[in-house]
Amino acid sequence: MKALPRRTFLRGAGVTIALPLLDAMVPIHPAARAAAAMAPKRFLSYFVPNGMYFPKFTPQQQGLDYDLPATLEPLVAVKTKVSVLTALESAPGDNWAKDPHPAAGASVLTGRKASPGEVQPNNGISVDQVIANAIGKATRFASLQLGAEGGSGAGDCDGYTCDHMRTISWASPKTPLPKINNAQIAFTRLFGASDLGSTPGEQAKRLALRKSILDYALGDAKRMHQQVGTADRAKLDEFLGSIRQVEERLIGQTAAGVAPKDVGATCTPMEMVPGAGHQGLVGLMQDLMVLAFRCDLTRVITFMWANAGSEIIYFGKPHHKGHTHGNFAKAEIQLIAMGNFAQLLEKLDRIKEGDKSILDSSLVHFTSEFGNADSHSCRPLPVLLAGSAGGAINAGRHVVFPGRTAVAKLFVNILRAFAIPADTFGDDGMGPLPGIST
Amino acid sequence: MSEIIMTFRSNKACALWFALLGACAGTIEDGAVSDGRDTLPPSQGAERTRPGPEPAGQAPVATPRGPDVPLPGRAAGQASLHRLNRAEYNNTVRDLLGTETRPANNFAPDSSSFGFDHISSVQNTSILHAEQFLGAAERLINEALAKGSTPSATLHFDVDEPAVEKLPGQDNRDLIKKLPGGFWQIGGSDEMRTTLRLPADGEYELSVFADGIRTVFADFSLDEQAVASVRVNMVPGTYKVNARLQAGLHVLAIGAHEGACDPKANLNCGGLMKLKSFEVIGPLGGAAGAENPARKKLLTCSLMDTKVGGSACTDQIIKNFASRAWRRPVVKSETDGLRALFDSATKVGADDEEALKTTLKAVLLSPYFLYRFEAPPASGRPARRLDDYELASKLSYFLWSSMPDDRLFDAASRRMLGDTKILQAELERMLQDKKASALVENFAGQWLSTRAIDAIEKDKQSYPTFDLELRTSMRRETELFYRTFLDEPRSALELLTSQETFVNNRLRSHYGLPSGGDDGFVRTRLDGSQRSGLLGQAGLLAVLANPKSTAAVGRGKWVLTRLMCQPVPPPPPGQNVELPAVDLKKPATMRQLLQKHVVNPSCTSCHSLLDPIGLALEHFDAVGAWRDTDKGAPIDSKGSLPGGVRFDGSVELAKAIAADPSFAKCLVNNLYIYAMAEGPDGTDQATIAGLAEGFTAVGHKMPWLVSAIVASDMFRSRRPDGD
Repeated sequence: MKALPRRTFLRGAGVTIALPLLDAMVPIHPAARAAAAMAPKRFLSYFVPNGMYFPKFTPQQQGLDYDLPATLEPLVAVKTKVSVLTALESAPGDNWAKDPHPAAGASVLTGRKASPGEVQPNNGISVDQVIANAIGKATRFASLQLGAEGGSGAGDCDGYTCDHMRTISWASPKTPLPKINNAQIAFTRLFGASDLGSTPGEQAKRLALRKSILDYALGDAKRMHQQVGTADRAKLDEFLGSIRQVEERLIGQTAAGVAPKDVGATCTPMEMVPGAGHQGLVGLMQDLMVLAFRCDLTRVITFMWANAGSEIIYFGKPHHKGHTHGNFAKAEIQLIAMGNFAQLLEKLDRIKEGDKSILDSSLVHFTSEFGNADSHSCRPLPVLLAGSAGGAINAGRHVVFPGRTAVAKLFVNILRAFAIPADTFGDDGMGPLPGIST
Repeated sequence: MSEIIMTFRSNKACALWFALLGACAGTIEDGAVSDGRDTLPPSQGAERTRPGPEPAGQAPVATPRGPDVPLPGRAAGQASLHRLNRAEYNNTVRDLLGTETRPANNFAPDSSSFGFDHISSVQNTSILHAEQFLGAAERLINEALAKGSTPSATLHFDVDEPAVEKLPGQDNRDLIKKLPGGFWQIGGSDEMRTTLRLPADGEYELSVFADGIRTVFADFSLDEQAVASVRVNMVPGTYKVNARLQAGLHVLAIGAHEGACDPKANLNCGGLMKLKSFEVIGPLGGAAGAENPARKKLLTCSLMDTKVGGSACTDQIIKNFASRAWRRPVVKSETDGLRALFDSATKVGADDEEALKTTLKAVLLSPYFLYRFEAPPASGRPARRLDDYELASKLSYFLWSSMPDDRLFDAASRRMLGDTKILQAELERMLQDKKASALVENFAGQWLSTRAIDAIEKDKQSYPTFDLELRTSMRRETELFYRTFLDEPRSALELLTSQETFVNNRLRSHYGLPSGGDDGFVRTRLDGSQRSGLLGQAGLLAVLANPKSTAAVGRGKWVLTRLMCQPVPPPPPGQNVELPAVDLKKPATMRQLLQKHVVNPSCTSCHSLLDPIGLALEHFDAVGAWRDTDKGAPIDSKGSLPGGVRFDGSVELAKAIAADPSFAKCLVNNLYIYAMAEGPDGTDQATIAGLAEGFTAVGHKMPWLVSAIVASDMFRSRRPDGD
């Protein structure tokens, strides 16, 4: 984990300067944009590690008039837009007998049982990436992976490659998508990447040169591809795919002339002054997520509040060691995380697109790798859904499912909410959940 | 290097050395084998050791080459293509272009497995990576070929009505206040922050207009990394310091600490400073094009020649650069391809300079740069010897986490590395180079968790003396200590049992040693009563502890898994494994808290292994300082290892672990994984066992182990892929 600043944060209001004017964001694929409705659908999955203490998390009442137990209290302002889904479980993620954290962490959005072993990751495609493949071309970034914990520089991830605990986005069974854990880097990626020059002629030339660099790399990768064995070919396929995606984005940028999407307020980059500590980082990352949606830089985000089996320090102890296992029932950290989540939802709800808010047109999914972290159990898992994906999902109710209902079924509902045909998902998502989709 | 002068204690060890290194008996020094009895028969590789230039037109990447070696195939899924990880990318561009900018620090984090972050099969390339590789290639080449200077700019900031943000759990102590003369008092745990964008990489002048309330140091940090400190006296004025900074958006923070602060005498080492304004000026100088050393190195001839004779100069520049970047000679078809890229760039309106930049950027985005490539043996063929260039790279990434230098390239170009004596000589030279600190940082730092020292956090209330200076001192102590095992003929068992360490004044006071004269690090012999080896060093002990307390179980687990390679299963499901809450009226010692594990049979099986080890280290608090009591009760540090060996305290514990053969084996296993950059499978076990045996026979000398791994067939060969 990155060192937290040892010092208290002191911000001089007169000291901070506005960032220099950054390059305008050029939206891409005007055709795709035109086809999209005024309020595009977005997907965000928000991950908080180490489970939730159900006696403080699960409402007593079902339906629309559900109550808010202690852990859910921060959601009060957006409650009518949040659904609590009770008794969904992940059989594929359940591996309590051995190395529970990576197995559970890997399955969060894939619904797959990841194979243990450190030679290669082996999981499945995650639901956010299925959505990104379908709608990601409309925006500058097909998807974003963000987080607020990097992970130790001395890696030891319980018999799996560390990706299983450090990302929930998987482009393919062997391609985990690393997340950005540094707000400055995320900020620069979102707003500082374009340096294409001022005049159209200059821009065209720079793009052509950049494209020639990418094309050259593609050519070399193809050449190398013919010289290697199976495992290495897979690595080069990954390289080829990634370079091609960068190229596609560049080509998209040449389609200039469409104004940046600007919902309710200007999309000029905000002034960014990091606060200290994990809470400061979470706050910045959440602001960046809101901005990315608001300015339509992406429509798919996964966010890890901390890694699976997190070592983030709260109340003087690393999260996993000090706050599951016995202190779990106190649910102190769970409440802090829920407060962060509620802030994010409130911000998304304050920004209007037409008569609806961004939250209304989005689907925000909240979960953890465990339910009861004391026993490393994924049966059941805490699951919340916020927003309605533009009316595709029933919002604002507490639904209790019969025992042994696979959480992967929810991903079928989610995919359908984005108009992606799906009947099954993962290892055991056989068909959608009843009562979720409108 | 003196370690290589070795006398074998037994024929068995001699035979092993022979098998591994192709030499035996007597001494080996300067590559000379003093007893000719046992020289290896000329290896098939020797046919290829003839000196001479690369045959013209040969495509070194097109056909698997090198003589056969009878080795088992690789397990399925083992990738051989090794993508440079962050440390390797940084070091490689440092050596290729002379840049210290470490651009890969901003890359997506490396994935880890087998305890290391450079394992080939798990280094994937996401779109984020691709984007970052492109961005880094562009910036690096633009910077390397930069002609003129970026005009130096001055960014001036006045401190004005700072808004204080209080953080939960932290105390601002109300130190921040407005003072006469436009000054603001800051200090203690506070710092002033602002964002700024720097126009270019380069040297900058950082200055504060300040007044020390005592004599303090103003600390500048950029994006949480300390970059410079300057002493501020008790006189208002401008205090300046220079630092190399990277272009881009940054968060600059300014704080203060008291330089001469003695943490034993003073609980708060944060200094107080009056700050009025600060400035960032730069980049300083802005050398003219001809003086940019990177540009001078890359442009081996005048680009103007391209206008005259056509393309000779451009071709030469491209060929030289690509050969170094790809760590092997490029063939004609490749230079033709790059030349075609250059030409196509000029067709879209780039001038020669820009076209050249485009071409060199493409070289850095090519997979031949980003990956270390070894062609597999032809289908159906057994393993083959690596060619000289492949071996040079494998060696330099092992020892330096970087590309080969000119001398190693030269040896490769003359096909000399197949000669084990020459290979050995190169290895010794490289181990002595300062770049071998990468082996310390990346191997030892990961295996022994000490790379995590930089991330240590402690609770301020519980450990008020813990600060950046102490943390930096801890890290330095351990680095200097590790380094002696490469530089001196000492047994690796002394990693645990050494009574010597390196201390500066800060650590002397932390360790309760008499204060020394100057403030540098001095090799010091301890009395052996409290501390020995790594398990007595504050950095590791602080890594293996919580912010407010020690972590006996975690320390025990670390010793078993990291030092002895014994896996420890997770707790059984449903167990409440948290220690009982501390009753403040009747505080319990760690040993009393852990007593619960003995009572509960489902805990005992594992905790009877873990707890006694951790409890032996209880004399060290969460910042590694010595204590005699825990919650007022004397510490009982008696226990035993899984094999039954009894000990009392950390010095005896360290001795017991060192004496256990599993420690040396575990070290060999980890260094082998690190050297190969891949996880071991069944096919590696015989080699690892042989290495472990030889390692013991030579008295656990690290340089021997490093060279024995390099000399092994496994290291020097490319095996067929598994499917």
